[in-house]
Amino acid sequence: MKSASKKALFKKNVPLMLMFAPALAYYLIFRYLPIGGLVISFENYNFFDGVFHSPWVGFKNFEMLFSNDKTLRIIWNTLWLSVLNLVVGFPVPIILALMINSVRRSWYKRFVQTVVYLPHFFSWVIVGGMVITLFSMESSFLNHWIEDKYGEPYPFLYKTFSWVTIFVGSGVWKEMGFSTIIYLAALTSISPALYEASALDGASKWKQTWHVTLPGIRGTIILVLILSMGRVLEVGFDQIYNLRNAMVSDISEVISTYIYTLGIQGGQFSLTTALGLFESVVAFILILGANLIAKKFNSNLF
Amino acid sequence: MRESYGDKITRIGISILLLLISISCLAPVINILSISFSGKQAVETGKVLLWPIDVTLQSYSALFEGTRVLASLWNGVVMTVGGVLISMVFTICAAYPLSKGYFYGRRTFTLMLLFTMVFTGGLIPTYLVVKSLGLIDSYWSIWMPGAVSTYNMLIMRSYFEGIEPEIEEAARIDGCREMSLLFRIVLPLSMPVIATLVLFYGVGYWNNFMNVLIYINSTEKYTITVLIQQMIASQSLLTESLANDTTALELVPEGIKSAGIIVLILPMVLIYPFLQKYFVKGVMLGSVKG
Amino acid sequence: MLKMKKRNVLLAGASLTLLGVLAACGSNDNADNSGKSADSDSGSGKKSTISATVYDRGLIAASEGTMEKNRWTQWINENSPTNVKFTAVPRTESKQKLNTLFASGSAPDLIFEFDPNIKNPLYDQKQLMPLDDMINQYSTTYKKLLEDNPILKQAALKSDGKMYEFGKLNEAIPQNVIVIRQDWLDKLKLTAPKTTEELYQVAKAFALQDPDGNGQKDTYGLNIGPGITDIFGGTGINNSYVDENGKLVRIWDNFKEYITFAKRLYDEGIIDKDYITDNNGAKARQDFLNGKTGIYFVQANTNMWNRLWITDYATLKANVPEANLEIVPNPKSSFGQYTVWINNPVQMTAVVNRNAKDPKAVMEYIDFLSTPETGRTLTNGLEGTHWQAGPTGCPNPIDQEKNKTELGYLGTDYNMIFSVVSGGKCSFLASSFNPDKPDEKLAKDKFKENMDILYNMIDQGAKFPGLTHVEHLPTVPQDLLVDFQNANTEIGNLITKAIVSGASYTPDKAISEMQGLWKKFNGEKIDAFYQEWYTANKDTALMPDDIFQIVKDQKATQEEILK
Repeated sequence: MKSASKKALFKKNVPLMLMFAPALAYYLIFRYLPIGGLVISFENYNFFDGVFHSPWVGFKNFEMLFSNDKTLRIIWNTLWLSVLNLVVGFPVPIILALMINSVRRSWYKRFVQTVVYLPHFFSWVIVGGMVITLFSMESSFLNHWIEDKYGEPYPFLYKTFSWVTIFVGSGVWKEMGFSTIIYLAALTSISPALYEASALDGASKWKQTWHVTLPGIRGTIILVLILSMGRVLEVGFDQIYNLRNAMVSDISEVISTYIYTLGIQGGQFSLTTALGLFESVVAFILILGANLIAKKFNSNLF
Repeated sequence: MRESYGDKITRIGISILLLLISISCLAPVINILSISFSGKQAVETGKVLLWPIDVTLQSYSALFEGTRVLASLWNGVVMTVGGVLISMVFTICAAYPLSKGYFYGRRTFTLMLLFTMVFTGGLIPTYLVVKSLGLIDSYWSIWMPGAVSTYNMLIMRSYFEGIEPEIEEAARIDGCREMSLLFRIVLPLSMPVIATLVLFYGVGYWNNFMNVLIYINSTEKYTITVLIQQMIASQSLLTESLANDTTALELVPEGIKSAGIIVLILPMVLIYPFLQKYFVKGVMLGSVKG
Repeated sequence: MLKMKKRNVLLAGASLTLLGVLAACGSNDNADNSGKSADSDSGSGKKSTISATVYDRGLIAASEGTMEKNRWTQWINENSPTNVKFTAVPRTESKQKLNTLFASGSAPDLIFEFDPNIKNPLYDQKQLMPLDDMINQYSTTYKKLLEDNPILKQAALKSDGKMYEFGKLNEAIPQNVIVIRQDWLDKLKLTAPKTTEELYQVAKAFALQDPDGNGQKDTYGLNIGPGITDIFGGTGINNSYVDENGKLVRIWDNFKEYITFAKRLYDEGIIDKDYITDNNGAKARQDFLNGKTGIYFVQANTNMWNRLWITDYATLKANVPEANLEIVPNPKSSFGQYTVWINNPVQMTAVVNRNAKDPKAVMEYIDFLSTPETGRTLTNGLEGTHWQAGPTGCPNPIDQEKNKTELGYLGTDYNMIFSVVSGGKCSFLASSFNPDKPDEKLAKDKFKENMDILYNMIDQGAKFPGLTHVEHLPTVPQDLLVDFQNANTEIGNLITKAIVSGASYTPDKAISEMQGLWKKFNGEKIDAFYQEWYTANKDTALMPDDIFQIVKDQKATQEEILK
């Protein structure tokens, strides 16, 4: 009996293996092969000697980076800003998706869905310019109103707390529409029968949302949450570059802008690769950690 | 089913909130649209807000006559459509086997793929690999390295795992084999996730800027995003280093930039409503009776 | 079920066909950058071929082709002794593109690039070919240019004593200009400021005394724009040295004076409080065009001059018909008179890939680019088609619209080797003004006025705002690079903070913090590096005296054009 079922299992696997083969080949060639290039972070890389023959320096690049207290401050800033992004930016698309989903008129629903995902397509050069004008001291409607009421405009962009709020807020605003897509798709797989049943039991809209909708997309929520852990040290260069100014430089210098600054006057490939490697290691540990926690709720990825 | 008073208030409140949010997202678009139809002087003095002033088609005619915007639009379409097809095929090839519990090495493979989501070799090593395969300067240099986004793949895998096993059982009893199972049962049931990934990949390829600049050498293959983003970038990011090179600072008026942005996002505005109809409810209902 | 199968088959078939077609397109266009293939437009096959870069700015009409293939590349290939295959480099990402090309060994033979921060690392990474031999053996035109202008050779030398860069001689003209609303001066009965203290007073009056007469306090005295720090001697951290008997002494007075000055303006509401978020001067320009700014600091070399005096002046007058602009010479600071920043008169623009297979062909191309005929064609176009000789003997455009399409993308991108001295007076900016049109005549007169101001200042011993032109300073060595970058960024931020942080942050406090930062980031070692370089190179590198000399050398030509 055992060998028969083993054989059956093998038979079922063969088409799967054949199917998986090209995907695996893709990963090996285009993802794993370049990872070999991470050796740059342990070398003093230059074009002449190439990736594998540049002089070996071991951990020197890392030492150089981490002995500089500026690096530590930058990592701290990056963590801070991206955790804030996560805490605010994670629930917002879910709530927005729920709101859109509850709209009855199909034309309005489609309209909102489409409009709300447009900001994703604007580059930060454009959005940054608009945000700055919106909160500037002299040309914003907001500050004109404040000036009328309180006599003096408020330097939103020049004080750390308000700047961080604007930073996080504008980032969430820009991406929330696009991030709802995955939840809207997930929401379609909840059976209407469940809603009907709970409505028959007398549940209000709120109760329905809590007991039917959210559990229905629980899997998606956890998946996105775990994968977001992988982005915890990523604070986009464009967003910072276009929103920052000298007054908030203490908080606005992050890993991506540091890499850019380092790169201005010279190659510095080894340093920037080393920094990137560090980012990746941290992100990977966090994903594994999040997955372990999710395991306790039986929703682990692997 | 009468809705309660409280529910009605909530519903109206939500509608209003969504309206406000929509306005906030539309305002920038309207601003740029207005600028693209406004006269040069009005734009330069910052007078244009939500309504065009000195209405003119000058920016659009300058854009269409003075740049390769049409050719690059076509290139963008080719690159996006090709990329989406390739990516969907490869992603399904990865996600489907990984979604089956009996697949050999499932856990290992998943971990391997996840690893590549955070660890990359960086620009130069990837470029060297692509170059050694002779793909430089063709769209394959964009399609191949981007064939699978692990994030998207995991989403699809998760969706496949969520399809009730009873359906698969029923099909097998009917004599369905592995590939038929995929094509006849699973994929049709997966329209929402397929539409989602088509959108994700589509947007990803359409917006692809840096990779095209680096991997494509011939400017005749540049896509619309590259064209427009270069216009936008030339006036901000590098003003310091462009001080020696004043040709740049003069050449792209705000109006033309704005016209370019409208042309750039127009396809995205059109495609999402089109895909929305695939986000249909309850496709799985009624497929298994008893 | 059958319908489904059919659909899937069709879909699969369509995808495969599409992929096949695209694959065919892909494999055809695998460009070979080593330049060996004789891909010549002229079809002779006897000329050798080199590969060269050209900037792509995306601004070429579809009817003209692409930056790699258009009427001008065709002209070049027909007339040059070498065939040239062009590789486009995106202007805003030239660094990334060139780096990947070099890293993968597929960079073209000849690289045209302005930014020393891109070329210097290439030298450090041994990617460049030294030029001495190829110039000696194969060059005629460029060689003569070097002999007549030794500074061109000087600026091309790297640390091993060999030449690595080709360059061009530019007009030595002011890079920035200060203009003032003369109508406001008249209305408030003031005179143009001559010292920094007067500058402050006039700006204050402009901001507080409602010169536009609309009853609202909505005017700015001035904008913080290009050139304002030069009044105080410049605030470049690697340029703030004075020579005391051969020793380089770091100065901090320039920073202190500038901070004090700007701080007063900011605290008293004389300038735009949002200037620090005005990344590219767009807001300042807008305010100026709306007639809100009394004194405007703006970049004004080459075509920016036209933009100011022709386009922007017209926009300003449309908003404020009585507006009247005059140029203001740099006011005198409390420790001396400084000139404006001057355009780099000796600009290095091209390097050669060490793996270039045919240096002779490269050199011949450079020679070709250095001749007057080539320079003129690649700037003005073809005689009879795009220009004809005007009354001054210099090219006048025939059809502006046609020229816009056919010449607009030309810019200076194919022409980055051409020196103005080779072209004579017709390649000087002032020759392009058409005195028959009133707005161009005004631009020309103002240009003359601006040049006269510069000549006067130099004659009266004004100083250059900085040790020398930054493009002629060496790059800091690798081990100090990170510190230098950090120091640069943080000191820059500190200056801004000091200006906008109100009464509690005094200039003295800012200076002492700055000095602290400099020390923290190994400032002493960086100073030592510059001292060492200065001692070894001060007589040969391009120094302010040399720059002023070039200005004087060009004076005769300029005056002839401007009379």
